[in-house]
Amino acid sequence: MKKLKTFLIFIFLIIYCSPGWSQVLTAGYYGGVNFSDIHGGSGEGKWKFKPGPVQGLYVDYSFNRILGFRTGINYSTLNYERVNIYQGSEYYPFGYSSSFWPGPYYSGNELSDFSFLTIPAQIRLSVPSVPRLDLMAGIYDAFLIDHSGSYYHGADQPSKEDFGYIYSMGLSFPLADKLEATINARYITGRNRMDNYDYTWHGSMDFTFGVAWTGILKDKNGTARYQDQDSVSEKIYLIYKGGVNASWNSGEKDNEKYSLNFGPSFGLLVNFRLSRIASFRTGVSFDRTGYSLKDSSDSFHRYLITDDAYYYVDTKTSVDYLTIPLLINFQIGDQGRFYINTGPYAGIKLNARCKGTVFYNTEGQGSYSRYKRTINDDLEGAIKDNDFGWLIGGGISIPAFKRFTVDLGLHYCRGFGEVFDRSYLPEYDAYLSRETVFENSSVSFQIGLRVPVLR
Amino acid sequence: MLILKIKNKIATKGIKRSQILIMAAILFFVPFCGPDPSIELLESYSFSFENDQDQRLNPGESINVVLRIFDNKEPVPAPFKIIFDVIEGRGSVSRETILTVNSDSVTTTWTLGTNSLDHRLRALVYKPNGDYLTSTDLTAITLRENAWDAVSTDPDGNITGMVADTVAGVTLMVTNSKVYKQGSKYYLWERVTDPNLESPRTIEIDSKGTIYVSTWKGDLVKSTNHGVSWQKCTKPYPDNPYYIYMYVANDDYIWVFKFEYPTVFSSDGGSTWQTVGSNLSSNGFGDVFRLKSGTLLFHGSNCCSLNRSDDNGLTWTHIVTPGYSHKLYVNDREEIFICNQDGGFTIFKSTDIGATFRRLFSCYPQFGTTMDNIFNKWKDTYYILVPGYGILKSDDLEHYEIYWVNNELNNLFIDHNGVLIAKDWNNNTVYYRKNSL
Repeated sequence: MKKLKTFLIFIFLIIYCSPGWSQVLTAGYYGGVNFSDIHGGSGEGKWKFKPGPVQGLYVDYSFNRILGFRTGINYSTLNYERVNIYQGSEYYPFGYSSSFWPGPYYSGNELSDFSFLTIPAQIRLSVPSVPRLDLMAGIYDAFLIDHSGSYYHGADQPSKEDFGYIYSMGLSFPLADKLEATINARYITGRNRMDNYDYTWHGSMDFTFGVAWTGILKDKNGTARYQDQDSVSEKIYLIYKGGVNASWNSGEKDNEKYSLNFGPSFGLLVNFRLSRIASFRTGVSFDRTGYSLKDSSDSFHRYLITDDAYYYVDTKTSVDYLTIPLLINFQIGDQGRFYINTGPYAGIKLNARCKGTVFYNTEGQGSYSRYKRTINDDLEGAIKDNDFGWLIGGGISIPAFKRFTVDLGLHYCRGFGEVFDRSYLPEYDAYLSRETVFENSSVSFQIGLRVPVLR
Repeated sequence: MLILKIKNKIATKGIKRSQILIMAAILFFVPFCGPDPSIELLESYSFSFENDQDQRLNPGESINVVLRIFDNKEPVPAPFKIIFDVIEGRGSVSRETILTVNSDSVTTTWTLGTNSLDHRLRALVYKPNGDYLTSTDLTAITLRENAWDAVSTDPDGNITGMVADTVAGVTLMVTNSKVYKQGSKYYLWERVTDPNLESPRTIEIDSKGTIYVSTWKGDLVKSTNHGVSWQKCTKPYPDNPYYIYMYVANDDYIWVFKFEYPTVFSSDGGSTWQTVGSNLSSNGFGDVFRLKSGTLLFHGSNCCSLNRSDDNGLTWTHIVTPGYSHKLYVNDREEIFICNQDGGFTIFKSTDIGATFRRLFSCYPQFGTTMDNIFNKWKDTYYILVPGYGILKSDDLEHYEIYWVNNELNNLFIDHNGVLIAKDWNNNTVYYRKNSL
């Protein structure tokens, strides 16, 4: 509670001292829904994205038109649910031995909820477009207010406090004088273990609507100070993009066994013009990569055979990344009709899971059973936190309306190195042979909309 | 052309930012949807023989084999191709391949081979298209004449005592705290039950055919009708709730031993008990023989404890024996035989009631242990078990030949037909040998 008090005093001082400053100060309220996204799972079972409430107050302090600082107080409830299946061994019909009887199986749901009071602190980077785009990253400290759950083990109590990272992206629309409407999406990932027993961490995504009052500070004439947005910048524009990733496994070990996996790719880029044809692009995007496996294997998630494979698997292993590219872009052709770009990228892992169907037989002395198992396993603990690689892209640019341009293109991404965490690979033969099991590769078809930025 | 079409589309219809947001949201959420984990049983079958496993039969006998088919999911079993394959014992089957159609069992006749102890029939189950599903085995054993055949199954794997009445043609054994009577074949056993037969431990027989059983609760039970009915004797130690050592001597006296209790005997079939003197119980439990003169000879389980009593057990006199003696046997000619540990195992003989001893035979067993049932006689031939070495054979106890070397043997019994039944040290295996030559 000491940290909470310190933070509240800090917020109060910012608000109290703001009239003496010349920068813009904004206060706002938001409310919406969060979707729990637990981190660290590497076992069987599906963690559901359960909704929960989120609301909060914030103050935003702008150092200039682009850079700012935002903090506040946030209340949210994270609802977790894990769905799994278990095989019971205690019941056999009369006349059957245990080796004969194939079941029973039953499902088990583990439910828990955690209510937090959270103090975030984020650095804001704004793109002065209409609507204004805010990109934020920072840390948070959260205090557990209440919890209940069915899966805690005996005396293992959840941690009373959580610390972690928070990333957000929002759009602000002017509503009226001194009033803005906001849409915001946040990704929150904890760094304190949920309890002493499990290697799991809190996490969530939330989507909120809010209103912001921009008239806290006034200039000498008594009018509120906020950024004027009137003319279009010729040096900067935004690209909102979305598309489909076709990804595959380029690992060195048994890569011919894997096939394509398709997933979404969307995000935004900021384009800084360097010369008539050259520009620098960066931004963030959500990308799903991975692979499909349709073969005999001892593992649901990858090709692994010792003696006779136990399963026939038809699964898709997917890893979600927040991708940050650093690209050099060239507009070539008549009026820059075509573009090509290349550069490195960094991927921050958000989630990983394996979904699909598995078939297997059990055979004993005089018995045979065949099962179909639907799996939806959380693999986040099995995947490295980051992936780095290189991106090459290109396409065509089609002017649309007066101020917009539509980009149609493809880009190819290639990750460097193993994606699986070494400790996860159970037989370590890949480690000993120095062969990678899983490397990211993808081709993405994307449609982008270039949006001008106001000066 | 494509570019132009897209351009026209955008120009005519337009794209709203809200549409982009909705599309992005759909793209974001749809991939997170997925079915919950579940398991579905697609098919499940079980196949089992109705016949008992490890049936004991004579070589060449046949078994009517019935294989039951269970479909654990559907009321009517699916069709299968079942192949019966004799994989051990060189027997044969009347129907090797059977195609089933909605039937819940198949049958065949299995004729056992003649030159093997172990026999195994395997039923291999395939789908009609040839996909292998599973297999199950049926086993049998045939016990041959003039050969040692090992059996490691209940009930005889752990025999602790056996008596044979050659006059009545009855053999009973105690194994796993139960009494069994030999059945129609020498390797078949039938459980003997009686309310008085509670936790049997050892079994003895006297010259009149009365069978005595001592129990783990310290009781003595007897049968005078070859095991048909049983009566409790007077308890040798009324306050003792635990097991006793019981021995029936050649004069039909019943001797009972118990650590920390005085040794007692009964001359009236267990009705009354008399305590022996000279602290005989300090020598442990053992063998007692009465000579024609009335003299009693006793050797306990403790080393070098040969004693004689000339007053019907009231007082005892120690007799010096060669080496570390452990076992006493007296034959019909009242010659005394002592087994000791010289060189491993040595048999000595005395013809002057222990005044002098003469070495007869020596061998070196793998291990030394208590000598429970060493001297066995069938007709005019002695079979002497040396634990950890094997079985010796002698017609006069003067000359010995090695009958069977088996370092794992621990005990030996002979049934009322002369079938030798040797017990392995592992308490799980017995060896049968029926001699016809």
